[in-house]
Order: sequence, then C-alpha cells, then structure tokens
Amino acid sequence: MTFLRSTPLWMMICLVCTLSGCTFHEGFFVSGIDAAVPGAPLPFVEPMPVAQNTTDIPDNPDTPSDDFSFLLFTDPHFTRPDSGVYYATEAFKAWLEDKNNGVGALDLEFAICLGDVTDDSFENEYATYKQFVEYLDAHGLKTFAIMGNHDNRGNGPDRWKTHVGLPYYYRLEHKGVSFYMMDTSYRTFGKKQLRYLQQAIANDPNRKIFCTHYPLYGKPDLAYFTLADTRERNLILSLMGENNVGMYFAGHHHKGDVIARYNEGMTEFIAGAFHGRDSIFEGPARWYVCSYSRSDGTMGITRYTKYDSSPSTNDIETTEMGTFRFAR
Amino acid sequence: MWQPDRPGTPTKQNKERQSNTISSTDWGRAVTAIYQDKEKQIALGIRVQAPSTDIGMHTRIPIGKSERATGNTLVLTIQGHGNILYSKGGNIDLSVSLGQNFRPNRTKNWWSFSYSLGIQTTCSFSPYIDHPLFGATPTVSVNAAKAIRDTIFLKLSCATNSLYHYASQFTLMLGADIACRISNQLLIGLSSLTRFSDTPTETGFITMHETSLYLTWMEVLP
Repeated sequence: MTFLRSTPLWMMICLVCTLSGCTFHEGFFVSGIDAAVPGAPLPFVEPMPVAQNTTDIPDNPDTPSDDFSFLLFTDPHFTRPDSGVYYATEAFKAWLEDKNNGVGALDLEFAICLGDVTDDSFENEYATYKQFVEYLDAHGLKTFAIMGNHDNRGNGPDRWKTHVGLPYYYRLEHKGVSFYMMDTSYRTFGKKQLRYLQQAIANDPNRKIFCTHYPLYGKPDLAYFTLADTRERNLILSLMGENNVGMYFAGHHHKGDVIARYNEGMTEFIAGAFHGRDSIFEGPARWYVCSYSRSDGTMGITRYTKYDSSPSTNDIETTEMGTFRFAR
Repeated sequence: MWQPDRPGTPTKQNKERQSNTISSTDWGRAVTAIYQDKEKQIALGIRVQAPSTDIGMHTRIPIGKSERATGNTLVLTIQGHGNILYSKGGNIDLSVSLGQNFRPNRTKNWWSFSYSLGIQTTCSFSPYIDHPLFGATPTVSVNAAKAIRDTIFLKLSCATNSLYHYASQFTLMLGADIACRISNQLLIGLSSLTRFSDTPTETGFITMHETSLYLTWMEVLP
C-alpha cells in the first residue's frame, strides 16, 4: 500500500500495432457493409460493383446531350405510424404526371432515393416502397436507392435485396457524371467500402457525386445526425477534394435543406424527408429536382414542398435552393 | 491502463492490436507520462499510428473532500486531444465532464465505481475545406473496477472518449482491462476496447477493435 499513498510519475513507452487489414470482427458481429457483396473479391483488386451503366438510364432526347435532370427524394419512411405524419404521395403523383411540371417538362431522366425507404425494415414497408418505385418506373424514372438506418434492422438487408434489388453500395454513370451510391446506414462508411471507394474514385475521370444516407457534417448543431468518426470524415473530405467530387447528397435529417459549402467546388446538400410531419424537429413533405449542366459545371437544386396530404398540386411550393459548382 | 490508486481513469497505453476504419497495418508507437499525487492527476501522451498521429491530455481534479464511508469524490475531468491524419486534415477535441468516484474501502480487495457526464467540442480542419468544421456532443463514462489482493486489477468501462479515441458525435466504446502488479514499480496488463458506429436501438457496426498489452513503469518522486 505504500506506493498507493506516494506521488508516482508513471512513464510508458509503447509499441502500437495496427491490423486494419484484419476484418474478422466486422464480418463476425454484423451483417451489412461487409456482407454487402457476398463473395466479393479482396479490396484494392476489383472496382466497386456497378449496378447500372449509362445505357440503363435512358437519355432524354429533348435536352442537350451533356445536361440532365433527376428527381431526388429521401426518407419516405413508408407506413410510418407516428402522430403528425402525412404523405403527399397523391399530390406528388399528380405533379409528376402534370405536363407543365413533371417528368416531361422538367426533363427528368431518373430518380435517386437517399435511404430510409421503410420505417422499421418490415416486409410490408418494403413492399409499399416497391410499389412506389414501380410507379416511378412506369413513368420513365428508374430509381436508384441506398439503405438508410431504418432499412437495415432485423432482416432488412435481405429484404432490401428482395424488394429493392440493388447492391448495398454501387456506382452509376450517366452522361459523364459518376454517382457513388454509398451505404452509411450503419453511420459509417466502414473500412471495406472505403477501400472500394478509394480505389474506384482514383480511376474515374468523371465529375463525381456522392449519394448516401448520413450527412457528412452539415452544420455545427446537427448533433447526432452525422457520421460519427471525425477521421473518417476528414478522409472523405480529402477524397472529395482530390477527386473532383462536387456534391455530397445526404438525407436522414428529416428537417433537411442544409447546405454546407466546403469550398467553391465542393458542397454538401442534406435533403428534407419525402414524408411530412407536424413537429418542430421535422418538416413538410419535400422532393427535389437536380439539374446538371456540363458546360457550366454546375448542379442546380429546386425544392418542391407540399404542406398537407391533399392531392392538389396548386399549393406545391417551389423554391430554388441554389446552384452549386463543381471544382473542374 | 490501470492506475491502482485512482481506478476508473480511461487512459490506456500499450502495445496493441487494433483495427478501425482508417488505420493501416503499420506498426506504431506511443509514449505516455502520467503524473499523479494524492488528489489530482495529469496524463500526456502521443501515439503515432499510420496514417494518423494523436496527442492526448487527460486531467482529473477532485472537487471538495471525499466522504469517508463511501469514498465518494466529486471529480472534474478535462480532456484534450489532437489528431493529424497527415495530409488529410486533423481534429482538435476538448472535453469537460463532471462525475463521481466511489471507492468505499481501502483494503487490498477494494472495488470502485465511477461515472461522469460532460460535453465535448470538436474542431476539424482539412486542406480541402475553406473553413474549419465545429461540433459539440455529450460525453459519458462509466467504470467499474475491482482489485484482488492489491495485485490483480479488473476493470470494465463504457465511454465515449479515451485518451486517443474521439468521435465527433455520440458513439460508445466498451472496454475491459486486466492487470497484474509484478513489482512495486512494474505493472503488466491486457485490455480490449471496442467502438460501435451507432448507439443501441440502431443497428451497430464495430468500427474499431483494439487489444492492448501494456507495461507500466512507476517512479516515486521524492
């Protein structure tokens, strides 16, 4: 006990061995990111799985060949039971089919969903989302989605495969722009996915866009709505800066409409939820149209807001969110 | 790392085997010095672990006198941390927390329990962004420890931070530690630390797992 009452100076000289190549624990404890591509080749060897290529997204003959627009929505949380929740799906459909607004007028060529297509990964919720996607498909909009944190619960990853039919993370290419659809449903990119991303992005000469569920940063008071690991965040920011990634699209934060301009050519946009809720922490139902101009090197974002569940399109509010530049 | 007369301090230096989202397979080194008297304690360390280098500081200051029966002590903890991810940027974290230590007996088979709650601020910088990124998050630390004949020490912990591990937002790390005193000046220990990507109710993903073997040399100052 003598030394317990003394005044010691403790010195430690340590060796630190890092074995990040060893991913046994990740595969052992969870499914999801590391189980994303069953039988996937070793990292650094193969490119990211490509879900679709340019031929799978039909070009719109009415637009200049290098420009295009797409529909962006996030967090539909289909069949969410909470109080104050409403869906503007009928108004959205009417808007989409309207010759003055929808697919034809806005030159929409495809759709992107940023996750949380279900509320709790249930079978019926996935089935509802599938019906919605089939509706979009019937109107010429093929939908590309990534999982959110509400989609990976229980058998959620398996249901994703069954009902959505897309990989957990993948790359799209359309008119010289690469969309990296990344799985952050576990609130991290994870080591394996990051390695895929690093390898794929380094060999890609296109302008690039990251699409994922969790925001990267957004703003200082976005507590608990962003990726947690600051080192991972720094790595992603550097990947974006080094590889001409002009946009980082995210959802998760239902209130949304957060814009973080990291520099002149690198912007994060956090979209608001597709469903609405009467709550100070959430907001009205929203969807977005993103318009890419190759010659200007810009992405314009227009928001469509519907404040109730009525099928009327007259009260859909249109707001220009801004035009954001790619670095080069 | 175990500090037998002040259990519950989440400092830990070591030879360790670690896997996390960012780290490479390179070997690294860490050096930590801890000064401690009857009341306060300060630890200062540096760890180089490619591709990042971390500097950690940990200070514990008792507030008021401890209760004799329960060993109840109110403790203010101040932690600072800097991280450089080489050319990719870096982070500066500062955490202030308030908590209680309980250590009711001073026998050779003592046990202790401690907890603290606080707030952490984070500043991230990168050559690719025009302005640093700021953020704040709550912190929590809960520790339970047991000594056997003042020779073998066991500890379980659940915390958001450690000397070298920080997150910008609330995520938890589970830790387990066993140490054995082999002389008055030498302590050898084995510890494990696991960080999850998200908190319970969400589907978790292990983003970091670390197993450490450490040796501590203690010098009693005059």
